Amino acid sequence: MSTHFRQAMAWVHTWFGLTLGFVLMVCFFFGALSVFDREIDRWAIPETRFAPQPMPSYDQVLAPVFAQLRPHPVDMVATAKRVIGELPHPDTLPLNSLFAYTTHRDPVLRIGGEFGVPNQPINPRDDHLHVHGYATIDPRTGEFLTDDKLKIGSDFFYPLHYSLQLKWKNLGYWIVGLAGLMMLAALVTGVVIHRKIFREFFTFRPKKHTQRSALDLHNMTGVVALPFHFFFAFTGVVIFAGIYFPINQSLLKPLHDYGHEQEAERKGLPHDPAGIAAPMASVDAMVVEAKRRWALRNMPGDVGFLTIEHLGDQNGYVSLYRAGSDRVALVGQAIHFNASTGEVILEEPAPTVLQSINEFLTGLHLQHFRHWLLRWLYVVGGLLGCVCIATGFVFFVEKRKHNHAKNGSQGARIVDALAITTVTGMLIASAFMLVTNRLLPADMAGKGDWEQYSFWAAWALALLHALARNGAVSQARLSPAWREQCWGFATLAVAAVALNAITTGDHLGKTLFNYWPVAGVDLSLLVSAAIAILAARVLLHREKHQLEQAQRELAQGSPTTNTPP
Amino acid sequence: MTTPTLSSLNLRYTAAVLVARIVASLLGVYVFIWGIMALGITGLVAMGVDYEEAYLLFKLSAFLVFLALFLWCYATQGVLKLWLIFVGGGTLMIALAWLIQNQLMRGV
Repeated sequence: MSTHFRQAMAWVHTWFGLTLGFVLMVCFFFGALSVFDREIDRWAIPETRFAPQPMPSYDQVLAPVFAQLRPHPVDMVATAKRVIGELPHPDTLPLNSLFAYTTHRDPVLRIGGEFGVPNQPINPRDDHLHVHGYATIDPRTGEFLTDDKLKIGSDFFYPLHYSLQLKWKNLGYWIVGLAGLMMLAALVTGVVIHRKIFREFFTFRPKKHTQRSALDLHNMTGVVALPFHFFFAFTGVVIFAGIYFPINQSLLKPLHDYGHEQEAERKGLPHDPAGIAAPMASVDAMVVEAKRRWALRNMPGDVGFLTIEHLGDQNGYVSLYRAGSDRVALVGQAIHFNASTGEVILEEPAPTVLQSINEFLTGLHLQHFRHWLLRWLYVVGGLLGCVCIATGFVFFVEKRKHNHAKNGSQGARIVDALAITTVTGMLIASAFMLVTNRLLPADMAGKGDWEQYSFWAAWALALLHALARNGAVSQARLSPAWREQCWGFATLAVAAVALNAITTGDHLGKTLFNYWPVAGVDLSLLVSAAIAILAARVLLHREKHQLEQAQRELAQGSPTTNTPP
Repeated sequence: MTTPTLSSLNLRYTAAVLVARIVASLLGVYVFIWGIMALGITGLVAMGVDYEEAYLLFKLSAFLVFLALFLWCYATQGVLKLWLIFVGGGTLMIALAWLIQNQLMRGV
């Protein structure tokens, strides 16, 4: 490999890694939390702290529930902008299709549907016009849960890791996609830069100065989990390939739509309603038949995903998908039934090679399987990714701060403040959100919105604090903001655990070994707080040491900086 | 080994060339991948492959190709050729794919 090549790769690694590393921290950290998103939901919504439930009976529980489902007001407003004339009253819109979705970790059930709209679209090519309705129900009773209660795990942290919650024009997805691609580039270039990859696997010199140990840790965490990092960045961008390359909806739409119609015809699944009303057969009987067929294929299982198309129409059909709790691939092995006769229309054939690869890749990223050790390894992998990126920042700053201190450049100082914000600041924002969740009254209107505001506000404050306190970096010393934010996080994390015990009575003595979702979140918060305190103590020691050294040099008349402390 | 800084690289490339390279490595390659996907899918469909299968093949490989081409943009000398290959080639492939699609849809 030529020197030019290696230097070019080092340049890519440094600058793309730096600029997109801040985004990657968010992806890796909240991605790691998303492994336990359902458990964080339980922590945040105490009335849903009960055992996971199987898909309830459609005939007994879900049919009456769907009869009560209404178009969502938010989507009514959005759809009204796409149609000519006024939309009819939401109560009069017919439910055309529906779904119910659960996993082995869900006590509550997510349902939703599409309501037909009689209006013509403003854009004639807008051929997918309907209003969505969605809700979360208690599958034991069919009771609707209030829409206001934010599922902090699965509806905030989880989407944050792939969309940054920037919904405008899908901007967040694009930034994350670019960051994912740059993660792949950083891994390849990182291997190119560091030829002695196997030696670095075993090299960690914590007692050396910060720059050396940061680089050791950066290399070690990068190499140890290299396949993990590569795989997650890769599958992450593949999952959203449809957003990044929307070729099916644009350039190749005619060919794509034609292919779809052909496939539907081949499968015998009606693309359009017949326009003739028809009654529903028993869906419970279909579930029994589906389970029998899965067992025959040597993969007994439960229904994870249920959909009905053309509800109440002669062309209606019910699709039952098997829950993927026991395999990597997600829900699959669909069996389709005629909705009014209950007869099987189609048992989906085994996936093709490409489909299996695709299912495996997405399934491995989305991990719906029941394997707790593997789930924890995912968390460890995600956190190793965070360590790798964070030590990259630290190395960047350490390498330059003496030079920058001499020539008065603000580069190292700004990067350090941003690093603090994305490492400890992100922890503070998350813990503060949990504290807010426990402090605001349970039935407060718009509680979920306030929780989100609290998250962003705490993060913004952490940035201001990091910027205000890092003057030390421009004198080539450690910013005290690292230590102070460690204490800030530790305090908030312990407060969250205490507030959970006070407001719900579910303290660790009660939940440990009895209700792992809540006990797990509490324990993780306490362990993180302990690590933060430990880190704060080490940082204090280093700060003192550096200050003494600087004072000694000043006394000897050889100042290392151009500005007096 | 030392990491070259922006200023040391400027000795070899002017800032404008660097920007042109970065844009080529991201947007240029992006257009090129569109071309590969479009031409690849329409080509395979024309040969009788199922649309979804053809799409999956390119969906699964697109980002690996993107990664390789992105890195190549920095490993190679000269910027003009990057623009010619990626933007020129990408546009050409998209146009070809559009023609093939029109031919295929005419038979429907």
